[in-house]
Amino acid sequence: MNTDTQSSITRTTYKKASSLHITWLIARRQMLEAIRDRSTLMLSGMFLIIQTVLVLISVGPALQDHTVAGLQRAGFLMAFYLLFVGLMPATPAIGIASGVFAGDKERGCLTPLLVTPAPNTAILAGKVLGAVLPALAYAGIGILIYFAEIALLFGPDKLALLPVGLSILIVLLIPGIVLFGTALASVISSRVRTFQAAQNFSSLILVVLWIGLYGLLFLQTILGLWAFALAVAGVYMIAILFIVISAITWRREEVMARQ
Amino acid sequence: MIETHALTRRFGTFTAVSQVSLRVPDGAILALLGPNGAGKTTTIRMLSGLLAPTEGNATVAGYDIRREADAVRACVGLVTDVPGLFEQMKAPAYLDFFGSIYGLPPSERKLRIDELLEFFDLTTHRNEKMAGFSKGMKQKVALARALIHEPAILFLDEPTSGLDPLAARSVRELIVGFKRSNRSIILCTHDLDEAERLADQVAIIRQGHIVALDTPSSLRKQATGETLVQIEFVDTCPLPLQALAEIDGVHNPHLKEKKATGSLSTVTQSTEFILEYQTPQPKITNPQILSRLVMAGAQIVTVTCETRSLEDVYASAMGDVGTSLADAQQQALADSRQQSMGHVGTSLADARQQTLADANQQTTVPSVILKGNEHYEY
Repeated sequence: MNTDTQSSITRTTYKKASSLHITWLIARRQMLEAIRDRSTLMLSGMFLIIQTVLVLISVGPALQDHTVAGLQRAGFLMAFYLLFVGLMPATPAIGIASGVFAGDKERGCLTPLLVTPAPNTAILAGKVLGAVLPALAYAGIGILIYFAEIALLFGPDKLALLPVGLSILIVLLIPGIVLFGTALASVISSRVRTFQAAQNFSSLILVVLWIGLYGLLFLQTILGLWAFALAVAGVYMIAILFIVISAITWRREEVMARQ
Repeated sequence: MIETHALTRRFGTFTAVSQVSLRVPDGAILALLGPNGAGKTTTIRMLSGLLAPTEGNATVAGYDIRREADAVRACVGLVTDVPGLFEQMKAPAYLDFFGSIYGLPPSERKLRIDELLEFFDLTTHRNEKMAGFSKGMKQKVALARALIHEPAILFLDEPTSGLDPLAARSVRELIVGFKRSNRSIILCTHDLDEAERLADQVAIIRQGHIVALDTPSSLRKQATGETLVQIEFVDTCPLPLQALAEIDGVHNPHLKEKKATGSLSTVTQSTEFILEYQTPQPKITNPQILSRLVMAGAQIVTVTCETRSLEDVYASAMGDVGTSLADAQQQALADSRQQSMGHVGTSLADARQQTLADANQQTTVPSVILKGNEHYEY
């Protein structure tokens, strides 16, 4: 703390907090809010129930076929659901990101934050991190519950049926999808006025991506695993591109001029 | 201290703020008056380091808003009409969040939060989520947030908007308290009464231009320079109007008929009269008029003097005089700035006269609504 007498009154100024600290403060606040948000929790809970029911009614009967082809089909079905449980958390990520960018702007919560000396990049990084981390946590929990379900319902040995290469790619894809959803929502949020508009536009684009990924998953037996691997790399590249666009365009000036 | 010179902000081809020059010393309140979209909020956003001006310059607490926007943001507090709280949080956690961003050390943060919660009567609500707070309480938290880092400058953008009268009054009392703590304050408001009561200076902004800038009382006086006097008689005025018009300083004397209240029969039987005139010097003119009237046998019921209210000044400034008046005002402001940096501001009357002289044409001054703050009874 230091005292500045440049003005005719004695003015107290505080030592500016570091950008990393500010980023963490913003991210932590948002994570707590996301975790406490009932609608996000309910959505995630609903996905878990759907996932359990789907696994029970589809993987169970598939595992009854003990032939090599039958077990391969069961393994592919398990990989399909792995992608499902991995992709679902991207939906809360979009909701959280739309909320912290467009929603905060709509509720007037962004102006008090922008009027602080926090750097643009710290605010943006904090908001992105605050949306990515809870979504990743939901995805991680979802995958663990999924593996636990298979182990409990059908036996731990059935997990070995999962195609290794494809499963690794799917697990690698999940953070990419979460990052993609968050970055997409942040870019769209800076160009629309309402939370609803940001969420709708982002969801629409994400649904197209999902369809593409599911299509590739089904076609990987024909196209080969490399096509899916390219798609995973593509998702990461687009997500990074969106983050860069956000970092360049998300400035106080830009945000306030659009209000 | 806030000082701006020819501050301008354009959004594409639209000019939101044009050539705004202001000076707010320490411990002073400037009220920015104007309709929606006049440029008040854009001005505040520029001064708080949120928007860069397209042209012109300004210093806030000694920092240049273009080159030292970070430093400006560190020493200003902003309250908008929307509290903008993270409502799922509790007030102490919310204030702690902002205190941390401003870089307050933990021990000082805790002390400051306790002080502010007590100051704003929120101590008993410290364990409640802000989502359940009333609008007034939320606005108090927003004020506390703006004060957490002890800013030298406060920007209050319609801080009493949507508040009930009691909450609005308590916020106004707080604003006066801030002023006493030697802060420079810019207050954007639609409430003319609020501006008149709180502000040391009033700037009326229209279509991005400052069309009037002075103390509230000077604005009222300079807008017309004349006081409207009404003398109510029991019966009728005993002197002819011509005799009254001969008295120096009496302008436009005329009689108005006033129907007495009461039953129909009463109304038809008694009709009272009101003598109305304007004068620039009521303290000299009124005694002369009154003594003549009394000597002529007048039975006077009441004498009232009304000066123009800020509302009238505002109505005039928002009228047709418009842009040319603004130009004259800004020119006068620039001239006065060159002469002296001590008192920035010029009279609405001067600006209007200059506009009229320059244009060399007749301009209709909008009609005056008869309201007033100064009320004399004889």
